[in-house]
Amino acid sequence: MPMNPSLPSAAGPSRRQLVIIGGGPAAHRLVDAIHSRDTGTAQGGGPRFDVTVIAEEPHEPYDRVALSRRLTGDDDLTLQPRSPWASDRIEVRTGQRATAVDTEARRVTLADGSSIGYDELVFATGSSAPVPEIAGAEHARVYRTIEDVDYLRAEVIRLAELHGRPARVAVAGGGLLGLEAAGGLATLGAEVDLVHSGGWLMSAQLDEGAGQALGRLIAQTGITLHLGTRPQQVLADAAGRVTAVRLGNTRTLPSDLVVFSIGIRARDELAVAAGITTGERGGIVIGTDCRTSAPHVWAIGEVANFEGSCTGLVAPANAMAEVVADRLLGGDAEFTSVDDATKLKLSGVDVASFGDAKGQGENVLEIVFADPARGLYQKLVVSDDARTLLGGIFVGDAEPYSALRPLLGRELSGEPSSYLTAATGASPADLALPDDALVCSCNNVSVGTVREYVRGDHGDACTDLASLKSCSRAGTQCGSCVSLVGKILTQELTAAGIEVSRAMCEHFPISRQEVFESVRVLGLTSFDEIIGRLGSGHGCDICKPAVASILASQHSAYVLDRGLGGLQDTNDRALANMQKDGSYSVVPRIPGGEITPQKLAVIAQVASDYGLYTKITGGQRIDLFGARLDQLPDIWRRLVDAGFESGQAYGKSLRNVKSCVGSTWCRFGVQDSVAMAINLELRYRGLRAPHKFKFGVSGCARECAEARGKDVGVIATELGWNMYVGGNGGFQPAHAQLLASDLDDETLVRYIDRYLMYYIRTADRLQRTARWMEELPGGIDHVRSVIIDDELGLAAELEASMAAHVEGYEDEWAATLRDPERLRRFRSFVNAPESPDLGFPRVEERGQLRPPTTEELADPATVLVSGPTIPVRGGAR
Amino acid sequence: MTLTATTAAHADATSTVWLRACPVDELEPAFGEAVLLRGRQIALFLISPEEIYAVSNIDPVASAPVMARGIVGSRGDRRTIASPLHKEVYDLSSGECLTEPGVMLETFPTRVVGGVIEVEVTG
Ligand SMILES: Cc1cc2nc3c(=O)[nH]c(=O)nc-3n(C[C@H](O)[C@H](O)[C@H](O)COP(=O)(O)OP(=O)(O)OC[C@H]3O[C@@H](n4cnc5c(N)ncnc54)[C@H](O)[C@@H]3O)c2cc1C
Ligand code: SF4
Ligand code: FES
Repeated sequence: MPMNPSLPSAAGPSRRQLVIIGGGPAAHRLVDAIHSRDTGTAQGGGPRFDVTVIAEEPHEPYDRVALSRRLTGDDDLTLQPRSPWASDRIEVRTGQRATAVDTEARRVTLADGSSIGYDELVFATGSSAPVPEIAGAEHARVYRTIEDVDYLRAEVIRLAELHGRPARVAVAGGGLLGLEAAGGLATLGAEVDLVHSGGWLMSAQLDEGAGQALGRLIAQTGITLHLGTRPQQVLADAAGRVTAVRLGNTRTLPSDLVVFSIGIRARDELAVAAGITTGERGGIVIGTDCRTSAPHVWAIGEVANFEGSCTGLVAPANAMAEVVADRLLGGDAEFTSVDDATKLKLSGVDVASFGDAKGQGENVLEIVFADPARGLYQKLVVSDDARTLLGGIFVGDAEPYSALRPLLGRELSGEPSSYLTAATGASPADLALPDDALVCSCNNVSVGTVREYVRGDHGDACTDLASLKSCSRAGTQCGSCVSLVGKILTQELTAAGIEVSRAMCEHFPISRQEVFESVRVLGLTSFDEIIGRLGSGHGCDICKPAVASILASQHSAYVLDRGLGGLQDTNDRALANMQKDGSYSVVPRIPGGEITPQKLAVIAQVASDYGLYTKITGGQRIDLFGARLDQLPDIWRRLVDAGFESGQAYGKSLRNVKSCVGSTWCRFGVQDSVAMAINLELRYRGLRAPHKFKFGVSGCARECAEARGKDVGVIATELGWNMYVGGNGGFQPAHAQLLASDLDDETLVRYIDRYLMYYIRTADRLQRTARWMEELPGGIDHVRSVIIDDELGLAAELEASMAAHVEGYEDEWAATLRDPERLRRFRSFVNAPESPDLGFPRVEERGQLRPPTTEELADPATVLVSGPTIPVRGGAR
Repeated sequence: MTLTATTAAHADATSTVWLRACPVDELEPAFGEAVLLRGRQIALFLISPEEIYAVSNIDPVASAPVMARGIVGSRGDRRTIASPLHKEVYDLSSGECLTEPGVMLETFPTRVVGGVIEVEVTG
């Protein structure tokens, strides 16, 4: 230090002395912020502050959040960056305790009797871990500092050696900290009893259902739970060695070690003595400016009492530190709310909560998925219109937490229930994260900031997670946001066209889109040619169907022609959908779901003649199950003769156009939705795409056709049609977004032409429209600029490609039936085409035939039946 | 021309016979089809007239007669067939499943005699 720290402002009028009491995470963040921002704009050119940190612990400020890492090794927890400590204007005095504060004289007295004057004083004294005043309390331990944890680790090992059995540890407190301590000690091999006064674990954050699920998970880790009671006495022998803990419910637990983790007590003792206002339940009272009742005195971190309470989390501590740094340097930042989102850091036990997790607000809805037996509990709290996200709890599977937390207080884009992954077994629905949403609350880093670092707006572009974390600081503390940070990284890199391997498979080092473009530009027409020019090897079940689909969309040629048969997925190859026993289902096209009674009768007759199980699909069509490969052509002939064609339920292509009955019958309808649906289905039938896609057309805003759940949704208005794009059901449901309003018929069709063709050209393999748009830079706005404003000058070309498709469309069933060469491929056996494909036993259920279950097959009592052309119990299987 | 891919199980068998399956030109390249040989369903894959594979038509995982309808491909320099039901990938010569350790697909040696594909099965 170049100056005498005991005199305020000794270095002249432009330099001031900042004293910080306490050297924890809050102090570190404050010092770091001052260090990087105090570039000096006051009178002098240099920094405005000299900083002295008085830190009682013998360590340079370290990351208490990561304390449990000390249990398994001598991890270095020193907080990064360490650069501030190298500055000659900043000093940290470790191992020094402040003992008194005089706010009149602006002076702090230290334990060694020296004192230091200040211009500004910050309390960052954090809290201590309290031990209740019960008999034997002096034998209890806590879990708060490096010394505490190092001691516990050594004791657990020593006790185990001493007794020749695992150490018995009683942990009091079933909150976040207690669970972390209990879990950590259990991983060291201790036998842990966890005593918690609440009726369920983490009762401060979780509701009862979640707490029960958590209890089950914790019990599975081998920890014994004692709920609804608390320690009354710690029993020790004459030498002061702990022997047992007596509980309020009069039980006595034999123990070698007792650890209290029942909360935090603000270290406000100096402030109290100095006459600074403290809260009823402790803590130095601050306002949104983080000032205390005394002039030039601030408080940050766990010791600060904001709106009546202290928060034991690092995110608010960091936020307060930033506010004080800003204010000291002339700014007017405010600390307005406490982000109390929490995630338990216990391996194997996923627990997280955020926002109004218990749903205590007025008029809130709770959407819950609970499977207590599996220890699963997921809940979202939303506003009563089910739109705005207000909070949530995840136990057992906290996968959605990191992506949902930033959306707190915002509108969700999808059905709330779709984010409950435990219910659907799927990965969470993808969320569109706005730039100003907070991704890392520990360090107050927004989604936009992370994106800026990836793009290189702040120096070198961060293209890997490690550098992104250290540059942006997101994810460097509790770690719960890391997966989301990684996801944003991938999205940004993809958008920028950087790295992120898009290789289709081992045979094609390039993406589907690149293959599509090359095939188009080079005019390639066969797989051998394409893999020869663009790839290597012989292809596989991934690239072959992808190439077949590209060829089909570009040349709209019959899929079994020109050696394409062997490229096709099995369903495309048979022009039917293979079922689990190797038989097929047949779906004739029923455009718009409209069908005459006569045609219905034909379907009924075919189904009964071939013994096919019949079911109405979700897409207003009829599915006939259980046909053998060799029966398919005969079935098609019957259907084609009656005026049906292939519904292409097997292809990655247009499925159906679902419609409501519209203005023809419905008293609310404003347009003829059925006619429009039929028109659209006939136009786009047979169009192959990266993924199957669906349409919906509703006759008015009541939306009975659920068009907004479709890739293309059309909803009638008084003036025409609104066009929505990018919706889908399935396991990652997405709501379609409005692309254009009040279109006339012709414009609507033109826009759909362009939209579909643009999708087919640029999407990745198996990428649905929703995902595709999400990953396009600019999303729906970009799509709008291409489709409506024609900014890429592609519109005419896209329309021409669609026109070629419409022109070239041919029913694949009829084409197959016309051609004996093609028909040959539907033989059961090359050497015995007359002997039917074998082995499709059936049982009867509710008047129809279905495949028997494995148990039924094994059971000789099962009655196997055969339809008119179905052999009884297969001979060759 | 013979392309033998003798499995261990096969080598142990005492008596085997070569059975005529079908003429080479009945098959289209890389488009599998089934043949029925002594009540056994066998899937044939013709890569070229010099390279023909025979495997059981029964999917070892799903027990359904569908293997002939899978997609022929390669992993590195091994020829493969992917099950059309759940997409397990098998080495066409050894029958080893490359995606699910421990699963095996039965394979049979093949040869062409006078333009006709023959498959060697246990008697
Ligand atoms: C095991 C454990 C796990 C945690 N996990 C999480 C988590 O996952 N997420 C999360 O957000 N938070 C977590 N926390 C809480 C988090 O660590 C605290 O919120 C954070 O450390 C608060 O920082 P602070 O600087 O305000 O206080 P502290 O970290 O308590 O630091 C205050 C420092 O000031 C010193 N001091 C006090 N009085 C004096 C004095 N008179 N003179 C000199 N020095 C003094 C103290 O010795 C201490 O070193 C966890 C805490 C623990 C113990
Ligand atoms: S969407 Fe409108 S027009 Fe269609 S059925 Fe419903 S209410 Fe009637
Ligand atoms: S939220 Fe804690 S590290 Fe990002």
